[in-house]
Amino acid sequence: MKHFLTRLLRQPAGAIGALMLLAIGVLALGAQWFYPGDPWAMVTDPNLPPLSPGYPFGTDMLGRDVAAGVAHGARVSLLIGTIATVVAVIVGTVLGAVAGYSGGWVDDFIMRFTEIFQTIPGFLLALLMVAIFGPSIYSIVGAIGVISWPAVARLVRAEFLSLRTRDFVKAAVLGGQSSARIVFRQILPNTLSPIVVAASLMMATAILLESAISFLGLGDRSMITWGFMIGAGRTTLLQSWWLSAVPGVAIFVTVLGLNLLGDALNQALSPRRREGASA
Amino acid sequence: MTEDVLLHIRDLSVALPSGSDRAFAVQEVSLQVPAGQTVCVVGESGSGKSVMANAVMRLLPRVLRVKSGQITLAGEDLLSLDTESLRRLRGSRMGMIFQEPMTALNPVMTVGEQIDEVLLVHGQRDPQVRERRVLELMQEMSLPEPETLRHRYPFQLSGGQRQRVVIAIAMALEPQLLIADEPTTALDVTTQAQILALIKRLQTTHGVGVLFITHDFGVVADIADRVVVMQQGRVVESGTAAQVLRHPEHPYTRRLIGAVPRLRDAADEVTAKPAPLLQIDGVNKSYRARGLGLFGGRGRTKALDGVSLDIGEGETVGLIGESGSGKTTLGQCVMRLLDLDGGRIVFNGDPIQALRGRRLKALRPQIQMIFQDPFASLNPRHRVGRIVTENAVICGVAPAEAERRMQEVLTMVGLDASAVNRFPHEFSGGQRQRIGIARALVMQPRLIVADEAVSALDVSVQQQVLTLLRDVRERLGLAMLFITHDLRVASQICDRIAVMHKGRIVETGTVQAIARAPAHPYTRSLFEAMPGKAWERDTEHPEPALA
Repeated sequence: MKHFLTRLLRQPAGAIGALMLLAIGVLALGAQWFYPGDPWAMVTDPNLPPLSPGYPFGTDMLGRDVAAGVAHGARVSLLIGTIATVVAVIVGTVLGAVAGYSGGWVDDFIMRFTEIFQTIPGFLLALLMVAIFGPSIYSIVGAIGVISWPAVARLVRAEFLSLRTRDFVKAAVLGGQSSARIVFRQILPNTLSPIVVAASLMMATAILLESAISFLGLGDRSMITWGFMIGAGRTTLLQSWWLSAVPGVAIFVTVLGLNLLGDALNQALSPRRREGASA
Repeated sequence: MTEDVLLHIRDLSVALPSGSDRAFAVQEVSLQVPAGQTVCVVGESGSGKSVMANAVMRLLPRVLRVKSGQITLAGEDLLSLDTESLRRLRGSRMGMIFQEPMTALNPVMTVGEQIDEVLLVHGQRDPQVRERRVLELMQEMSLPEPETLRHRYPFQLSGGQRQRVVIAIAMALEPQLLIADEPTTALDVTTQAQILALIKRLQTTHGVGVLFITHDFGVVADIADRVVVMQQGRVVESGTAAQVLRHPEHPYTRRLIGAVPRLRDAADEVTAKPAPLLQIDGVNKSYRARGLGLFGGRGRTKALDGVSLDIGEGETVGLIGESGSGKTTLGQCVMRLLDLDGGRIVFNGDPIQALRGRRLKALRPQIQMIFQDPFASLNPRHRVGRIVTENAVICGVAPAEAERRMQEVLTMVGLDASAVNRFPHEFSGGQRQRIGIARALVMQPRLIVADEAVSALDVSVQQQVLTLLRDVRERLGLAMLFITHDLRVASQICDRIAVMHKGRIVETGTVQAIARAPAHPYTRSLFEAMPGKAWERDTEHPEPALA
């Protein structure tokens, strides 16, 4: 584990990505402490430009502190991104593993089911679900999870298809191990690296999706989010560009950080590297 | 030397990227290929023989750089050529044959188009001339019905036919030099014999020089004029074939030649027939060929067709056959990894196909398997200790007892106790195979199915693993079903052999009896095709190797 971390952070991409995410993470966790109180509250004059004393990112047309909004919005973005990804990974992994290991009609059934979700345009489906179930953090997480899991299921199934023909799986069968044990103890650990990499990239997509949903005004109105801030600032983009630009940069930093970390994870987890490092 | 030298390699060194286990893949290698002669480069995996061949073709991956040395083809310096002259030279003056013909051919082009393409890119513009040449080449490679065969795709051809197409492509422009990198390793013995004969014939009729890379001394004995032995990137011995094969001087060459399995009869004294442990009785198994799409046709291929075979207590039976003969399927049926379509398999009085649930679990430890590929058969994420003991613990052995057995078995297979806490990738191929054997032995089985258990190993390691198998078999009184394509290897360890062909057992008997008078025509062709027979006769060891 320690070796793994040094391998990950020794790569420039890994170190930079981790640093970016760390900054956003600190901002999210410390939001209440940096900017106590309600981020929706009007605190001073409207439309203060960035770098005004006390308000580094300026204020919006109602005099709300943009910095406070970005900090509190980080919480929502990271929370939704993480939970939606976890949901998608769990659902996708279980279905993909069962399909890949069983084969036959079980595989056919699960894959046709997966294809139903893949043939519907993802973002429209998410919007539709949020519109039907009403905008709340739960419906947004659910919608993002629903459109994200098929990719994981396909990935895990493909890994299982190739791994289940390996001789070590036969050896486990001959050792009297049950199917569940073979799936979860023998094969699944071997698929962890592609899953982890996919999850890090998927979290970036989830954050973008959430922002897009909020931008269109379908977000949870009781929570301030980056997407909502960009959407609200859109009308005054020519006068107060920072209202959209600052949360935009926050999204950019988070997504880029996740992508860099994902690439670095991919490098650090690949068995070739492992062998090279331990030899 | 009087013959004109075609290919001349002088002091070639190829550097490995830093952090590898040695500094050079190929170090100060010099060799010459005279026109019209075959030079065999022999060595175990990792000896740098393929790197050298690729350096001649300038096909080295970017990470490998030629550090020093010179390669000349008929006086022309290959290493200093620019891309365009190199492109013109490849194919027209030197051709290459690869190990795996399936991947050497483009799967979405017909074989005729692929031969045609070589002629086209090297400037033959007239389609009629090209067509004539394609047919002529296919004829020369003894491909049946060139007119229809050239419209087929690679997957529709047999392995031997594919390799003939690859050779046709290599020979299309009448090159002076042919480089063959393990061209017969992926083929069955009978096909291998035909391909070797073809290469030999092309060499005499066209006068090409052949640089032939192989690990198989039998092949060397059949085809080589000169032999170069490589170890760890260096040439340790070179000379004429007769000289190197009959009177090897370097200790490494001697060790390699000593390890080459010879045909011998392992059944020392024919004792009374032991009580049968495993009875295979009229077993049938066919696979459904899955059609494409929802409504694709569904044919069935017969893998086993009325197979019957007995294995006695403590007896080792060899199952010999080429790829597709059904030998692996039979092994998997015995292991109960596959269900039967007909017939029955009785182990120790119980028909194993009927066993379910707890009784099946009780059967599992008694029949264990040793696999071919020592890299795929161990879970890369688990430590050796877990790999070896896990199955025993699941089958109800107390952890402490499993631990004790593991220590005992690891010593038996010649592994250090410190191996327990290491991962499979820290071991060499031979050591991994020992771990696989230890995993099987910990279960205290009565029957072991070894499916090509030594085929993926270098000869010297192969010999060690065979010795180990013989040793544990004797010590523990194990019965063994030894599946292999190699008659010589089988003769080293088996009491009896059964020859399989197209899903049927065509002949059974002791190695000696079958070798002396093969009854079935297929068995005869198998013995005929064994490489290096003449050499073996001439260098007959007075005592049977490794008794």
